[in-house]
Amino acid sequence: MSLIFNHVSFMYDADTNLPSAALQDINLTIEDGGFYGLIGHTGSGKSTLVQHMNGLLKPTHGQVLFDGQDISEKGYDLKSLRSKVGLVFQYPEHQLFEATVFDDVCFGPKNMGLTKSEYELRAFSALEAVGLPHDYFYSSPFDLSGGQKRRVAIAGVLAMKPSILVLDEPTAGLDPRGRDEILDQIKKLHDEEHISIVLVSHSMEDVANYVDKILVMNKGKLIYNDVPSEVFRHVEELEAMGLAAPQVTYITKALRESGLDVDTSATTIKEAADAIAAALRR
Amino acid sequence: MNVIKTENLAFEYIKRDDDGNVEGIIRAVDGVDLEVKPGEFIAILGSNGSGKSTFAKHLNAINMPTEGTVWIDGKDTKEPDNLWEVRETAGMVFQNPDNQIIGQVVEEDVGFGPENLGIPTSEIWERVEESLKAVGMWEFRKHSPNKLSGGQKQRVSIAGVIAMHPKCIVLDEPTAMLDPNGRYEVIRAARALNDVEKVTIILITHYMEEVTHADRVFVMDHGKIAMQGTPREIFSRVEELKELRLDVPQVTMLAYELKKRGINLPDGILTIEELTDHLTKMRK
Repeated sequence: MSLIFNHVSFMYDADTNLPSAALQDINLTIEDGGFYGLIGHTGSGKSTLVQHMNGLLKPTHGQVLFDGQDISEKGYDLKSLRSKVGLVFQYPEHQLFEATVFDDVCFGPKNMGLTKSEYELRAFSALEAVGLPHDYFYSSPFDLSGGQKRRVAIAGVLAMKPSILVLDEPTAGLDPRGRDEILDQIKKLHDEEHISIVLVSHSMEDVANYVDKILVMNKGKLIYNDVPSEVFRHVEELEAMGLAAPQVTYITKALRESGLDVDTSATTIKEAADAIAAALRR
Repeated sequence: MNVIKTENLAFEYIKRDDDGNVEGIIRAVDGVDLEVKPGEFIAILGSNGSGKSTFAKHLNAINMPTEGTVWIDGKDTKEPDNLWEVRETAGMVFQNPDNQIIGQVVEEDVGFGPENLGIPTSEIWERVEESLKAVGMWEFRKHSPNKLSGGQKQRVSIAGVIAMHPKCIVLDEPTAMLDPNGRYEVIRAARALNDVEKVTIILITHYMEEVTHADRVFVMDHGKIAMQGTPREIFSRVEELKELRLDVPQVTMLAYELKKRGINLPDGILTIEELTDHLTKMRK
């Protein structure tokens, strides 16, 4: 089920004399089964864009279409949209509140009006999907580590069986291994459960390592929507927007400038190592 | 004299169940000996739960040792009479900028600390000016903090600490919530304070790239110091770091991958310049 942004603009305080444009003429399709990275500096409009994806905000102009239906239309079932487009906020573990991990994950599907056996089954498979060991299912969420709590929070959204999962900085504050574990798990959800992913991130390296396409926001506009090797070609433009390219991109560029005939399109360590090894053999 | 010295430092807390019964004792810091000289730039790495933040909170007497001693500029932090001096000597900056800013206007926020120290008004304004200039935020002095970016807010937090003229600043994951530009701004400000003002810096981070310029790196694991050395020494030990749930900078990892492919490079390459130098020399 694809999500389409058709000339979407959004103004904060539109009905006052101090309106400010947070989104300007966004045209975008989140394709079925896509893995997107969404980058942009603080205040670029990323969060406003994300909040349009499940109808927390509605466009001032233009339409957001989910499965062909305009979400702003009267009578549109926003509750069902919010179970189909799951949003995991920053530091989602702050939103855990039930006495046990399992109850917490049940909360969402329970509110969808499912039967007890249905929602318990969903909670169980969601917790398995995020790789939380069974031993922790009935612990208090507050006894878990940071990375584990975050998995539980993601499971809570997964249990609603979304077709699109939007994660706002899911790795902030985690150690490098914790970061890799969460991202690997998200990739697995994408590959095995065929969930479309939108990953909001401040780490260019993570985005380069995992996503198929990068969306770059700046001053409320969608500047790029392309594969990592294309987006990271625009190093200077990205820097002017307060962003950067992955470190390896700078390395291959520096090597090329110092006379080594190396392909500079690499965005991951493996690609760069291959490119450099090939150049040295030449 | 050392600006920071800890001897056999241990910190324990009691874990209780819902009814308040003791379930166990957690030893979050377990026998840490550390000495920091004035003007050093020290980085502390470690996985989530390794005890680095608990350790850091001992440096300005938020936490008190269960065992062992912490001296800040020669003052034992356990002595109640030393509390103010300890906190004036070692200032702290935390992860979330929104929890640390209280003023309605940037300059007012920065003046809050020295005001509480009883500094005369005219000197407060001098300190506000020099602190905001030191972090490159002087032109924002009349702004409201809530209109600033994360990196700018974090630099205001740092200025608020500098205005108290500490000998040492402890930064506990100051860049975890920032975008690339914000991270760069904050690290640049910390390095400038260290280079120019000779302020001792203790930087706790999960970003390996931020550590490459430190004088010394400590790696914590299960409350103990598991590794220590220069960044080059530490980042030469890729496998060990991975076992401790850590990583190395991308350039170091790339050099490591190239080595595995039979390209003859030294261990622990830290900067892009070093790597390009080695590789271009190979061609000649």
